[in-house]
Amino acid sequence: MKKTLIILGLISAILSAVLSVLPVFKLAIFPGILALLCGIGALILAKKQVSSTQTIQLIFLIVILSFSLSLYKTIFTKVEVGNTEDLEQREVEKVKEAKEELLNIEITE
Amino acid sequence: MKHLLLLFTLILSTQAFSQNNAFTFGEDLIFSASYNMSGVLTEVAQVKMETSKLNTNSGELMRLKVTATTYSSFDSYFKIRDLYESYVNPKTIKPYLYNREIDEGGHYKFVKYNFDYSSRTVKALLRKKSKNFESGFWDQNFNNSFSNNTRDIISTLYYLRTLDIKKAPIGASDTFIVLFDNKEVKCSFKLLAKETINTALGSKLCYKLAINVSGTSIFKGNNDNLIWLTADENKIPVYAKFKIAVGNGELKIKSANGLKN
Repeated sequence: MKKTLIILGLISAILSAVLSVLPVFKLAIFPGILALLCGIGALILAKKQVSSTQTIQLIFLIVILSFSLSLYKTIFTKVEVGNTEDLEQREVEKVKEAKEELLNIEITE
Repeated sequence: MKHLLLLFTLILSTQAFSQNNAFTFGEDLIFSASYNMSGVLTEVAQVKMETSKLNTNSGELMRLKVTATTYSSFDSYFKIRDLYESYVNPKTIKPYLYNREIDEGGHYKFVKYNFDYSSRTVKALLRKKSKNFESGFWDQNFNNSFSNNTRDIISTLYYLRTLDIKKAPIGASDTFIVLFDNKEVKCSFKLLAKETINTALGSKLCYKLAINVSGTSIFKGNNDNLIWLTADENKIPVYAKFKIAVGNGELKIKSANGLKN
């Protein structure tokens, strides 16, 4: 049981860490919470069995790091539009084409 | 019967007396589009709605331009650079030319409609990328007839703003014919409520409208696609919720410049 919780916790913690570096960093919270729950469960079992808690500590460490990164990005990341040169170029072309096509139309009410 | 009468009154009042007192040349609205990912709203793109003037030999047209651009952090994963534009009569918002050029994650499509009011026909061009042609594009041309009040999707959205909604009772609806993907689809707007919402422009009293589109798979659900227009002369779309085939999300206004009123 403890081993299962540790493996599940570790996988969730790594997934949380991966998500926290991606643009969808807000999603890191879900595997992060799962990892924390697994970590707590494994810790309780480890205390009962008086066994090593090193891997469990690693789970907590990864989760703390991923949550910190997600929180930092939530507060300080400013969303901005990337390179729109191509789009602007297309817009200019479209206006030019429209001018030619619409120059002699009859505007009706 | 009562509802029918209300609907009839609304249609009459909107068709006969609608004038464009809502927007003018040089209006610039900026929105942020968020996509719902597992219950978490993530800002993915910027949507811009702009109006400008285009002079022709017989007068002036209004260019309604809408662009959608993903934020730089999403460009490496799914880059969107969409351009929608409609050249309309500034008074009646009747379209003469419509362009839709989408580039979404490498998927390219260009659609052009030329509305000819004398012959009631629309000349449509559909262009897709293809390796089978020397030009790199595969063009399809169509000639379709269109009904009197057919508009493209952009001019419909702007036309909605010209309607005299303040006279409409809660529950009233109006249906428009929209030419989309070379098909005429019925797009209805139903006034659900008047409510005050907080926006980037401040707290605004708004008309809450439900959008339902029949005959297409663009929008999903019944009354799940909503738009909030400010309950003033400008009728700015300040907030929208949408449910489409690939998920749901929302549009929130960030800034509004060049307003008419």
